[in-house]
Amino acid sequence: MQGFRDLLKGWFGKVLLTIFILPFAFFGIQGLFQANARNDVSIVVDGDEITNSVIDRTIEQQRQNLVQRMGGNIDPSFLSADLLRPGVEDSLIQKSLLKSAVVNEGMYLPQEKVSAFIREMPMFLDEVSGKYSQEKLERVLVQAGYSGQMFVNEITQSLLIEQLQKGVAGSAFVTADELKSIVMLDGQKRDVATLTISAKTYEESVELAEGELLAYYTSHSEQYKSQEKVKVDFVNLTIDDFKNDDVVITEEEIVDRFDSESEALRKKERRRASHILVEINDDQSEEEALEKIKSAKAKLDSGVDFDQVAQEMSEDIATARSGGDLGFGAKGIYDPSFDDALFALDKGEVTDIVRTEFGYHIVKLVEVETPDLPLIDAERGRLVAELKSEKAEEELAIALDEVSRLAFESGDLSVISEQFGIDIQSSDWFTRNGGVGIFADKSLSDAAFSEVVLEDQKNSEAIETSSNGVVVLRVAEHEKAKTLSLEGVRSRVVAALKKQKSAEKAEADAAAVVAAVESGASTNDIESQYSTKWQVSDAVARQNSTLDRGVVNKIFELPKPVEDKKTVASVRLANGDWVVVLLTGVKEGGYTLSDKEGEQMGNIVAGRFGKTDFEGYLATLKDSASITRQ
Amino acid sequence: MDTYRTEEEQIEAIKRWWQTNGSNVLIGIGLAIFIVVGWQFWQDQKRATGEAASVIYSDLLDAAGLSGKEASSDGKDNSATLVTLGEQLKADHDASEYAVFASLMLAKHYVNAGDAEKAESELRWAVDHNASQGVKLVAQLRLARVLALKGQLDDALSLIDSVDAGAQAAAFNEVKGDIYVRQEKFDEARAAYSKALNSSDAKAGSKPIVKMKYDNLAVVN
Repeated sequence: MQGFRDLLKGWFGKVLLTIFILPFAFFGIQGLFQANARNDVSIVVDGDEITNSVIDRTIEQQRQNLVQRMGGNIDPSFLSADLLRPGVEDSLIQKSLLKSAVVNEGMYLPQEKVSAFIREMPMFLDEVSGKYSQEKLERVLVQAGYSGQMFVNEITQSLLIEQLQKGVAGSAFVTADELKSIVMLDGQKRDVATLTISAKTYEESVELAEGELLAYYTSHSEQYKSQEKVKVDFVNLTIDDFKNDDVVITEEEIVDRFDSESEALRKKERRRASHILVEINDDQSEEEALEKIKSAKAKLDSGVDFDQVAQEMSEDIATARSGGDLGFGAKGIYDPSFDDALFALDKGEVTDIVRTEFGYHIVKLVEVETPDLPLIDAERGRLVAELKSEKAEEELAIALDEVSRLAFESGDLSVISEQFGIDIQSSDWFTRNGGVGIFADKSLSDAAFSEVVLEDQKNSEAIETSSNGVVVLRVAEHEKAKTLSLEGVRSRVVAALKKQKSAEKAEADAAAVVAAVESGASTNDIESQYSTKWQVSDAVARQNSTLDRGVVNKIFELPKPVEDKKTVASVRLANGDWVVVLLTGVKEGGYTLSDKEGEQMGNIVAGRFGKTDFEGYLATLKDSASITRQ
Repeated sequence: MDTYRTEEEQIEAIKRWWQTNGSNVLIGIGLAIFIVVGWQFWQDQKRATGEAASVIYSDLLDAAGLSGKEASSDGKDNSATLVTLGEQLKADHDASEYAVFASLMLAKHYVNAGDAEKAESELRWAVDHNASQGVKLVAQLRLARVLALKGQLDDALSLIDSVDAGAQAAAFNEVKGDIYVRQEKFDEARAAYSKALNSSDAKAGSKPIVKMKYDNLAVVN
């Protein structure tokens, strides 16, 4: 140690110190102090940190992609973060590996190439000119929360990764020999006979002993349990409880309500107007217009027909010829001063001169179309009922506070019952999933099974149901989930056991058929023994879709028959049936592709090889990287 | 620690210190400047040559019809361009990964053109020019396949056996199986395919071709 200190004090130390300090002059000191939010880091790939927030963001993006691709009818459980996370993590790790791979491979891209690429991206083209727009680029980047430099880096990286991927995968080839053998193998066809042993038909003949039933019932007792259930006592305060005769509706209230309804109806009245217009515009001053309209008014006053004056003098070209007819209109569609004047008229009357933004008008009310206004006595009954109902609703809302307080304070329901004069009722049994009547409302069953009500035996809160007023409940009886007696579930046990035994018998018979064929039994004997028929299928191709997929796979997994020795195996179908597959012959595929077809097929196979190569390349990258999870 | 009584003494001390150590400090500063400037120059140099190689490479991808851009309709011209650009990359940037990619592209070109000899020499070039491990394994496997194409089955097998394929072992085992089939050693072939199917790096379902080859060799027990 002493020696080391001496060394540092000497010339060597001074040189060393200078070397250590000098870089700060060039690179600044901030690099040393860049604080990282280290606690957010989830995965570190060779020093490159993947944070939880990046993972969460990517999961969210993928979720949106899935929803977009599958439409609205995707099962939401496919979108849970837990399910998506492993895949997202893998792809982020892969991206990180490739990012550092392009650096390690010494790959670069000139700035000009990157800018040229960005300039051609459709998202940055101006909608109108179709040309690259710097403004649009900046707008899009701001929206996406990217800085310009970040974006350029991202694009550079992905272009480099593409170069790398093309170097590895795009250079893959398939040789003529390889292609030929793959095509021939793929074209291979096989002759088979299949025998289906249907588990379903066995179900009828299966015989069950009492002891078997009991044993099955005992070993599957989990499946034969009743659901946990409760009965509750409850009070239910509804609007009806407040609609009694004590609620007084005064005559004044009825009249008020009737008047406001009539007013609303009257607003639906439509009036047919005619008008004479003299415009005020660049060619005609206000004074000139006023002169003209006054002379029109004078003519009307002297007894000339409105129609005629309108035809002669109105400057509203669209209506003048029809005597100024504007058709029907409701209140509020015209200029306010026009409107007011029109709706102040009685039928057949004509206004004085009216000024609007267009100019001067004289308006005539031609016709009134009124909705039928009801008479108050005809409506009285309905109005009283409605008003009572509204008052009752208000009172129920006020009562809610009191009910809540009483529910909390008292040890049973009697206080609420007495205070509001309502009966305590008892429910039927219902489960956590709810019951019948008002207990179909999930909020009630949730409350009944809540800890406070079920375990602590207390009143529930005052629960506002969606359509049945307010409920307070307490548990009267509670029955835990219990195993049902064998007699109660006998038919279910019988069905399940029959299914199981017939599946077992089908499997055993399939195995017996296989053994019989292998030992040389005749196929006819087998048919009669199992009362089923062999189905012959010649030249089954790998792509065959008439046979079950599992059967086709089995056909091509079987060893080829040597000389006359056929090969045989059995396979279980999804519906529980068993199929015995007897392979009788193999026809090797030929190579009959034209040059052009061969080239196309070659490209497909080479593409697949390339994909495998690139996956291999990635696997090696991953193997030699240090990947740690925090 | 010494304390200096007057300013003169302090200045005198600094001068003395400078006389003994000054030249070392200057050497240190000089050395540091040299290292930093040299490092930056080297980086710039590396970037410049890397970019030059990258530009040639992307032209080569165009010629190989891999860039997605509309390739020129005259196929012959393109393959001549491909060979010229590939050779240029190998000659001028032989230390670059781009040159390795170029030789892989040339090998593909020669295989498709039916020239196994030239394809072999391209792949040997790629194997010999310090490609990264993953790329080198890809090149070695393709070399083994080209050897098999030429009928040198034993050479191909010994090449495969000499390589520690690590995470890429499945692909090597598949090719091994293909070679055994050509040698009519069906048991060895089926064993090799089985390894390819069961290696940890991929599921059997994702390798339909290997599965097909494996099943085809099934025998009665």
